[in-house]
Amino acid sequence: MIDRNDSMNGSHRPTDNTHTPMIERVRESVSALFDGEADELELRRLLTNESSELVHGAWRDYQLQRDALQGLDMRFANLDISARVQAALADEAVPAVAVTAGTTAPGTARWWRPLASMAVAASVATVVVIGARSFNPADGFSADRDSGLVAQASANLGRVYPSQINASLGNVAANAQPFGPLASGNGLPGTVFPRNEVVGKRFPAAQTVAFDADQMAQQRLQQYLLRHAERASLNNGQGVISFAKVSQLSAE
Amino acid sequence: MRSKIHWCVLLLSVAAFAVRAEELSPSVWLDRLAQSMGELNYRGVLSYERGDHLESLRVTHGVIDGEVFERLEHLDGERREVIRRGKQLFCIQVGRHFDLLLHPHRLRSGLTGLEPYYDIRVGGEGRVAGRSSVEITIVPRDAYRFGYRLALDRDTGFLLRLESLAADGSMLERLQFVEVEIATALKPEWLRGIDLVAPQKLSEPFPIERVVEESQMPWQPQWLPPGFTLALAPHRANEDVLTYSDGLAVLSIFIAPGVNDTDLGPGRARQGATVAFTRSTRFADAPIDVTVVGEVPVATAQRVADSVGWRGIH
Repeated sequence: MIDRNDSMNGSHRPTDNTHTPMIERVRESVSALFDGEADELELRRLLTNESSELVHGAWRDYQLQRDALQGLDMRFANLDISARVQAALADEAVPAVAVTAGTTAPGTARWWRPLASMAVAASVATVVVIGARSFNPADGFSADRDSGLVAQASANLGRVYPSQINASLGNVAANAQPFGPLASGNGLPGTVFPRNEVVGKRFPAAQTVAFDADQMAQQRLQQYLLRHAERASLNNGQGVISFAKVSQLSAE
Repeated sequence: MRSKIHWCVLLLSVAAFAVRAEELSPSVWLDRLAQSMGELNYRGVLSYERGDHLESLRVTHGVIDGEVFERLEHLDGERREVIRRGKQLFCIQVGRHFDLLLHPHRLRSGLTGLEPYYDIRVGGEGRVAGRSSVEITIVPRDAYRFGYRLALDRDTGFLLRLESLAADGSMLERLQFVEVEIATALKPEWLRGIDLVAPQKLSEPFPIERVVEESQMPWQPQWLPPGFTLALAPHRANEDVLTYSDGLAVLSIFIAPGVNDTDLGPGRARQGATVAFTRSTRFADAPIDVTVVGEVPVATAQRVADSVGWRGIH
């Protein structure tokens, strides 16, 4: 509850020192981000220095509103995730398709944009989860440990490469490179597109704070069972019948 | 395709009548099974049973425009279904759509090469789902995998019943058709209520991002039960999952960032014949969770999980 007061009354709160349209735009963007609907350019804009105070305030407000609606513990309300979101974005290969949207191949751009934004929103959600979970009330918030975890989270859940891990620890291994297409950031559709699915489904943004570990483990297991069934269905001669074993098709 | 199926059914029927079921070698029956599961047009209701859990599902299978069409509907509880068209797979739940699009890396051609690892025998005849059946028992030659008892349709080789058995012979789970209709082509009424076009609109297929060779995979198991080979490598950029199979049993290895000091770490779970084993380890001073999921004994899953290590990227 103390945290709540802090963030509600903090100086970052947008007030009369900014143009109202700007406030509105930021709040709408933050709202979209919160609902996982912000596109990537919007998100990058949100995280620029000019508007960071506004964004931080709006984000906390939305978090508090959401938490209040859901009656969630407010402990993590002042956990400022923006640095971690920045880190996540920095690690993202810049999606060439999204950047050129509107200038070339409009059909493609229309098609890609929401997917790319889903990818970013999903990364953000993951970062929030990991960040919240690494907060241990017993020993306090460990910045070092958290940054390490964020480096992994930003590299997309389910992917573990030491380049990200070591980079976050200031100890880059010479041979540690992600697979070529990922590292080169060559703008192939595959470099940005696919990371929405698992991440977004596994950690819906609305459940990110005060997430129950049992539930998380359960969800991860369900997700694994589903993905295993998906892969087994191609190999065990049973086809879709493999999915009979999966009681929940969605891990949400 | 239609004439091909006619031909297959005819051939299989003739073969079935020409000799007694027991006189056909196990491999002939397995060939029939693989072929019928891929090419027959059928719709049926089956039960899935594990422990005291029992549920009903309806499965529709056929070939449309040369592409395999499959649909699995859960008939109990929340409405949910899986549809596959060709290489695309759709999971649909009420009010929610998402897709799991597959680009198979290496598909197995059939149930071949099992003999070194399983003792396969043709048993007696019986009756399942109103059809004459032949029993096939598959006993593992080592302790690393489960055994199976199958009932195949005498005429077509179609899988009417599948029981997975633990080493002590106890039944882990059972899939069994209650009723099945086999036809020369997909019947229009089987497809009622399915929009064959709409699923594609949910999203575009994933592009194949990369073909990963085994030597390129940074995380690899150092031990697998004999006969298990790579069946599916990661096919999306965000995946660290490897799938191995001996032709019958399938196991998948998931590598994920671990989280310090949580209940997410080591553990195991079993559901019917499917087990999951998670090992927590550290790599480059960061927590890593290695999870093996598969239709194998938990000891196998554990041994595989324990053997997974970083090989680097070459």
